[in-house]
Amino acid sequence: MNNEQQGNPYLNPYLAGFLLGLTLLTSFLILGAGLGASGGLARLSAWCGLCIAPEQILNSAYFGAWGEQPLKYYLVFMLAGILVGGFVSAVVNRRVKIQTERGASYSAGKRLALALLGGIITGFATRLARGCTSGMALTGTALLTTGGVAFLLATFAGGYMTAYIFRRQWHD
Amino acid sequence: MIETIFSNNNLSSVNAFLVSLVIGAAFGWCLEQAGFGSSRRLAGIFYFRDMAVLKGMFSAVITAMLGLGFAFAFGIIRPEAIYIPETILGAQILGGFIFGIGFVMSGWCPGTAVVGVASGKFDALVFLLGSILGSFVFNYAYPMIEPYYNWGDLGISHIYQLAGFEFGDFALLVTVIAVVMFWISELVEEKFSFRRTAERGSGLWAFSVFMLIGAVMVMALGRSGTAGYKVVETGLYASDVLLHVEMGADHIDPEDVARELIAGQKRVALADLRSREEFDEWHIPGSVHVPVETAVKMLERYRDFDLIVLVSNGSTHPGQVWVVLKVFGYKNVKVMADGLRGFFDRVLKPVSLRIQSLTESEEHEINHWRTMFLGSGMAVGSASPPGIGTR
Repeated sequence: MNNEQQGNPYLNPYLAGFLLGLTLLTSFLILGAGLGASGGLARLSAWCGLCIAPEQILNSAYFGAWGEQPLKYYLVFMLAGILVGGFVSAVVNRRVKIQTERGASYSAGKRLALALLGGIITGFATRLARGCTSGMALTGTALLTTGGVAFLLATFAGGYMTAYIFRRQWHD
Repeated sequence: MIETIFSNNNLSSVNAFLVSLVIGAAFGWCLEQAGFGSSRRLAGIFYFRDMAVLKGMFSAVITAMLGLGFAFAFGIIRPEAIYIPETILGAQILGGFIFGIGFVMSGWCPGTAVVGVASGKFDALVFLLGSILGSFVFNYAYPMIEPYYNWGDLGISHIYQLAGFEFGDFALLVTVIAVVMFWISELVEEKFSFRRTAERGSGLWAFSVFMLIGAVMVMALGRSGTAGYKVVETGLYASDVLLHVEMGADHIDPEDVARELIAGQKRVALADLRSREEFDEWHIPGSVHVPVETAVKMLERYRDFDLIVLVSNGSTHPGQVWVVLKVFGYKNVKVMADGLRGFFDRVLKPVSLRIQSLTESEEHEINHWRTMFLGSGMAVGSASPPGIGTR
């Protein structure tokens, strides 16, 4: 029934959070900027667009500002780092398993449809809000910016208000 | 004081990319260790089954926040050496709300989904493809939604300033809230998932006490007042500061001050260093009264402005304060040449009293200045920085 419990148990979330906080602090002190994930994804999106229709993307108001080489950006490299770090940790702790995570009574097709639609909505929202859980909620709140705190509260509001609708995908 | 890759303007260098890669790897490692490579665990917070997201997230927030508090208090880093994400309040509330819906629908957010892909989750890969598509949709919709994109632009805005708090006091408040939420999370998990996690107990006690002590120390350091304002190594060379003086980069002509204020393009703070009585009698509309003794502390909130102009009757006091501000790492500060006497002489003096011959456009400009600065005084209100006049 519980398909998440393979490999070593997870680290205590407070300790993991503390180490994450130290990573963020290091980023502030060396890089002079916080963490971010959606920025790199959006750059990847612009790059995909350039491969398909370069003229159109370069002339668009939003992606166009990133020029012909949108991947030459620090957050793209941070995104690659997240993949590497996550992979090393998952391998070392024997937690890599190809699967579609869902409740036992929910179909994989429906679960993937929700993941896709949620992804589209999320990708759009990060551009509007200028960041995601990493760049806005985590980094912005640690810096006590008004926008970071507002984004964090709004995210929880949006999540809790609609959680009931999407509950079935986790039913075993 | 240390400089960052951002403050050295090197964020697009190969060096910055390598550092980002390493920091990203540490970030990804932490996320996977916390169990955030599992959508079931991430979504758990919305059903009160698994509060790991809240625990991990707020532990990270208060750790980094208090660490920064210490770094600022001991003068290890200047606040402006760090890129502060801007606040566009409306866009971020709307975007955050939509983001929350996407989060609970998919069980992923961008960073965690990358870790999900790294641990073999197919739903994470589909989510990321959706996210890339969503950014693409945004690009096409951008011309239509631009007003929402810029809705509620507050620039760099700190919530503690809006609430009338000092950084340290607010950091303590946030820490207390976080610790209370940790304990509530433990109770919630016990109630909704009928299990008592191993995380509760002595470990959480120790962590709570450790964080609260840290927060009290950050607050006390901020309160002591001297911590942030004692002379620290700014990395400046005396010759650089003196070169600024020699080049005349330390002062700005009154005419240019008038033009900047009226144009309203830059964020300009006009600091009047005279006595309160003189200030109350008359001051340039939009200027703020700053007693010489407290100038370093009071001007802190204008540190990131494009320009801070120091004004007094003459330019002796502003010149002396300029040097002190330079030592404290202010970059954008200038003295108004010839002081208020110069402002009266070169900006406000009526055309009819001027000896030199003037072109028609010069006369026009002087008359415009006179209406702006001597008229109702309201006209340049828009050029005054936010917060000025309210405190």
